[in-house]
Amino acid sequence: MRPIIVAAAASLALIGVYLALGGASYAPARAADPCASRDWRNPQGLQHTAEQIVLSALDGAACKLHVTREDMVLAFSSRASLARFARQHHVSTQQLDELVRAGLMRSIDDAENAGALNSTIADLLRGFVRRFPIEQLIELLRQLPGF
Amino acid sequence: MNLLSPRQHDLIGDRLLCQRVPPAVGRPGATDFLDHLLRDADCERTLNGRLGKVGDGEESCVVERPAEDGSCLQDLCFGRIEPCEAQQDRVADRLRNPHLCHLTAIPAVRRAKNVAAVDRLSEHLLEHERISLRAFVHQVSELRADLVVVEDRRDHLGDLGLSERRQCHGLRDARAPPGLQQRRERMAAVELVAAVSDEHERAHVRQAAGDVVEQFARRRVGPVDVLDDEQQSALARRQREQTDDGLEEAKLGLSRVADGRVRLVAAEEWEELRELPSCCAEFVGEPVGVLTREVVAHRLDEREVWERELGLAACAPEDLPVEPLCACRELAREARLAHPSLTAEGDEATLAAVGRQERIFEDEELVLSADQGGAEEAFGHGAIVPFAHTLHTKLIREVRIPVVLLAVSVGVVLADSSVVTIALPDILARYHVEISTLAWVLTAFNLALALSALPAAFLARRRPAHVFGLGVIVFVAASLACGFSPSFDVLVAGRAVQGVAGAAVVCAALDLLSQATGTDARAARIWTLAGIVGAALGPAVGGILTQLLGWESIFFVQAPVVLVALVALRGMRAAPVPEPAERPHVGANVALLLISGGLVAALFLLVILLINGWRLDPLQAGLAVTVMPVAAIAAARFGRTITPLWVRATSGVILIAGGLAALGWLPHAGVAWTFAPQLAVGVGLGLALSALTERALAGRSAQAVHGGWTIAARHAGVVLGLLLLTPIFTTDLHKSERDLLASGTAAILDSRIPPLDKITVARHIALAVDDAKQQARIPDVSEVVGQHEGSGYADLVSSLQDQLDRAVTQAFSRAFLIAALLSLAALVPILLRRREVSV
Repeated sequence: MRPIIVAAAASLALIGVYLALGGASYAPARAADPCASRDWRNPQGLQHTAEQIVLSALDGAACKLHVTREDMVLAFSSRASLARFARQHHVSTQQLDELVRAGLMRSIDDAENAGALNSTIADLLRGFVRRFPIEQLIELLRQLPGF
Repeated sequence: MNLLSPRQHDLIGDRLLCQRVPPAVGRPGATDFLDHLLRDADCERTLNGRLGKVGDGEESCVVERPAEDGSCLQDLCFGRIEPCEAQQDRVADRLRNPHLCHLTAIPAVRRAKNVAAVDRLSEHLLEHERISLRAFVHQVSELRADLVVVEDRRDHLGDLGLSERRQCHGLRDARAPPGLQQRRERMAAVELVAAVSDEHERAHVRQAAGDVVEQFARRRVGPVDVLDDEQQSALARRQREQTDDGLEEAKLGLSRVADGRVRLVAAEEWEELRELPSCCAEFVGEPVGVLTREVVAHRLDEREVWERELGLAACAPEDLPVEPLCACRELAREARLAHPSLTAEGDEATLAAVGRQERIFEDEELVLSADQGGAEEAFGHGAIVPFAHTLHTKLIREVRIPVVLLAVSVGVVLADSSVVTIALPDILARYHVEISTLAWVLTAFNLALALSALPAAFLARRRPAHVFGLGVIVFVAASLACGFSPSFDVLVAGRAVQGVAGAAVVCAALDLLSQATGTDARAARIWTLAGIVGAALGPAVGGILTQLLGWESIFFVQAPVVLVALVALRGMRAAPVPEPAERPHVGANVALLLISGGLVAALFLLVILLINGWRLDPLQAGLAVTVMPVAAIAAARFGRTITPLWVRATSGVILIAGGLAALGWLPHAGVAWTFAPQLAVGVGLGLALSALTERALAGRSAQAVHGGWTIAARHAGVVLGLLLLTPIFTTDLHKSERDLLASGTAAILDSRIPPLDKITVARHIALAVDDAKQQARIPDVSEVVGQHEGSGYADLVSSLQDQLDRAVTQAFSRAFLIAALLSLAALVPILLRRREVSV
């Protein structure tokens, strides 16, 4: 019986050590709630302002669709992924356009309220968002340096 | 002269044994004992302080001097005065005396208290009744053990080693050991001889003798008939003739065995031997004075060394039943075992005895092995253990090429079960098939092997050489077809044919190994070890070949290696097995099936984790997983001392399950963390597979058939594992992929890289994941993010890599844990069929 006891002790010790070192503690990082209000950070230049506007817009759209901001980012990574995303969430492209447009308008308002944008630039951006289709806006964003 | 009265005969009843008196005993009668005492200078004794007349009344007498003169004995006739030691050791001292041992050996008394009782009775008879006891021991070689038993008293501080050496002198006069076929009943008997003086004619002495006989009878000590001189001389002649006949019989036995009776003889022997452990099993684990020893005796029959394993508990004499001891001794004698310490000291008598035995089996294999230290210890404590000695003759040491070739062919075929695991991504890249389809490269081989193992085994039973040769040729052809396969379908078909041919090779190789090694047990051991090494080394070898030469090289390299095994057939005769196949060992085979199912995780999933998950090169992965085969080989080699087999198998299963569970709960993603679990799985693999395969093949005729059952069970287990674990692990991998993308994107969005780069990087990561998914691999984050330069990228890469590794590791977790449970389930058949799995 001694070999059995030794084997059991060795196995339990090995498992115990591995569990104690965090063997079973892995959990994927949880995405933040897009519907939660986020503090508008003091932007440092146009790039940061644009980043925060875009992220805020994604938050708004994600909140409406009950998905995460990260899902929205991945959805807009390509046309195929966007179409797949629309299918998965049973929304039309037009509805997606409206959601993103609403998100962008909200984020411009937040930026103006936070003092990141003056009213002139804010009005100019609102006009862009209202007039241009979202697809064209996205294409425009993609063609910007760094996108 | 028959010393037993009719009443004594009635008392003894069936216990009355007719004792043959060895010639060395000489004259029976009342004066024998004292006569010998006086003639031996070391053993002079007084008889209760009285002057006594001994011998024939004229030659010698004993005079006791007053105590103040030194309490000496004086042999008046021989003019010697020898100091007289204390009287209390009288009996023990007699027993130490080599010359008197023939006369005075107290028979093997099983209980220590009986030893004391015999001693007390002897003293009483000598001192008060003046009656001496004499025992004849039928087998002189047994004197040694008997004497040690008797001397194992604290008040007898004899030098046991010296005593043993003295006793070995007795071997000079011993008859030759019994022949192969001889079964001589051990007769331990005591003779009640006459009183010392005239008083022996008195009625009350006779009455006292009757009481003593009655007491001895209760202790299994039988009285004897004593033969007169004429009868003795006739008996001595007969004994000499019997001794000669015994030797002749042994030689004849060998020749008869050579004529084809090997298996019949072996079957009888096995039946006897298998009863022994069960008799002794209850004594294993006694807390005091219990020595557990494994006795491995090898029986010699026509170049076949039949291994006998007795899980005997050589207990203290008082605890050991008579029957197993006797059988054990017979076994020891027949197996020609010698005491290791005595042999080491060059004891002439022992060497001569061993030499006599070896001469009988000149040029034959003689393998005797056991725990020498244990035997010595047991011997020293009076426990009777068939002592052991390892003699490797040249024939055993000689490395036989056919054996090596057959073992290599078995190893290569069984390695094929897992050898292409590392090559799967390359095969996928070559043929562009679905991942679920890709698994057929593994499944086809194992399924074909499992299904065809039994039919192949039945064929191999009749024509092993033909089946092996055909199997090798077809296997080689199929291997080449796999290497050159133009399409995935051809590859899978080739793998299936490989499986069928491999079954023929492996099953036939078992019978051929039996022929090559001369023993089924050894063949089974080599076959099992080759299988373990092959299965465990498969992924490593496959990885190295894939890295260095490409995945096709796996098939091109194995083809000639197996082809060379055809050389092993040269000079081998086809030896069909006439006996009908016996039923398989269900418990051992079911356990093998479950363990093999669990081992899929260790042999397949771990390799995939290392290469595809943690992005190791095939070469690195191949080297990393060598821990397992090395541990398995070592465990299979050194774990043989663990008995009974079910204990070894259970220990192995627990270690496998523990190792797999630890792989399921890896604390970090890193090769180093897999070493300890690999070690546990490897040791468990070596213990469990060797024990269960050994059991599945043990004691059975038609080994190829049982080998077929074993192979079928093992590879059915592999198929079961693949079918069960692959969906689990692929599902978890997909799930972790989604989680990983989300958490990775979050990390990118929260990182300190330039803001406008974040969505671009996230988009590139998503595309890279899609690409990697198509190629059945994990994306390389550093490749994607590494294209960008700037602050924060290094941190982002590190963070993403860590998340990726942990997510991938986590994706394998559930499959490893289920594999651990599958392995653990093997305990059920092992424990339920414990008797079957115990040898």
